[in-house]
Amino acid sequence: MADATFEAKVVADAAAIAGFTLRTTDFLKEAGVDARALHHVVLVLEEILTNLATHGGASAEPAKIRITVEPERIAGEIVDAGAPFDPRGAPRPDVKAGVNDRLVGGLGLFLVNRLTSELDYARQGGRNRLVFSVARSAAHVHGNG
Amino acid sequence: MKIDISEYGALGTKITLVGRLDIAGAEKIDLPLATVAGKRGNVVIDMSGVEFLASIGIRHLVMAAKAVARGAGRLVLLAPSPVVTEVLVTSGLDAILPIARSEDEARAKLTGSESA
Repeated sequence: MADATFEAKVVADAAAIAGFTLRTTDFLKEAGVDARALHHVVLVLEEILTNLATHGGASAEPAKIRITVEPERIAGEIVDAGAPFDPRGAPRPDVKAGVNDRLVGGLGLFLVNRLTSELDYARQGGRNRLVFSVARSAAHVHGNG
Repeated sequence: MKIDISEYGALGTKITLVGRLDIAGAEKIDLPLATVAGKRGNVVIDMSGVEFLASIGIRHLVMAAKAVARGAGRLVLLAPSPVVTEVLVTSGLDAILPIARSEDEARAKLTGSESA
């Protein structure tokens, strides 16, 4: 069976991102992806696109996304024309700080680094190209997660 | 995202969240969550119906925990799904957002009969 692929172009604003992550969730559910891999792939997309909306600078060009469901993993690619930004190795938020002085600003990118099994970045032709993958759970490959 | 607010016996307030705690969901719970957290008293957030949690949602939960702590109360998350639990634990937030697996455990954490 051929790998299932999902492609989309997304403008980096809150409404478009929310609609896109819902469509991606439906696609991954239909493809029989386990609950953990599904959640983390959508989390990566939401965090990267939200970061682009917040810090990417004004760009009329929508981000291009491709998600492929492979037997062992979900592979994803995000290409955007925002400001150069490499999310790998984003500084770890101060997770041990107390309730009153906790810094949560870098949490999204920290989660992206921790919850992906592969994360690669290149600046190509004036665009950011992020490639990531999330492993599928062998115990749940057939579905119910 | 649906948010439901009720009394939690004499212990405080219970907030039940159902749906996705993404950008849209976080926006929806922002005001009601801040209102409850700003009152004095404990807060239990039933997370069992939350199917998606991203950093923006975590940020709202942390802000609520801070507000509850300022009023000398405690905030406990009740029964998040395994995948939502993984996100919370990966974040290293268990001290600020303690997780209770059951109502009994939630009550114990609120009354201090078990250390959070």
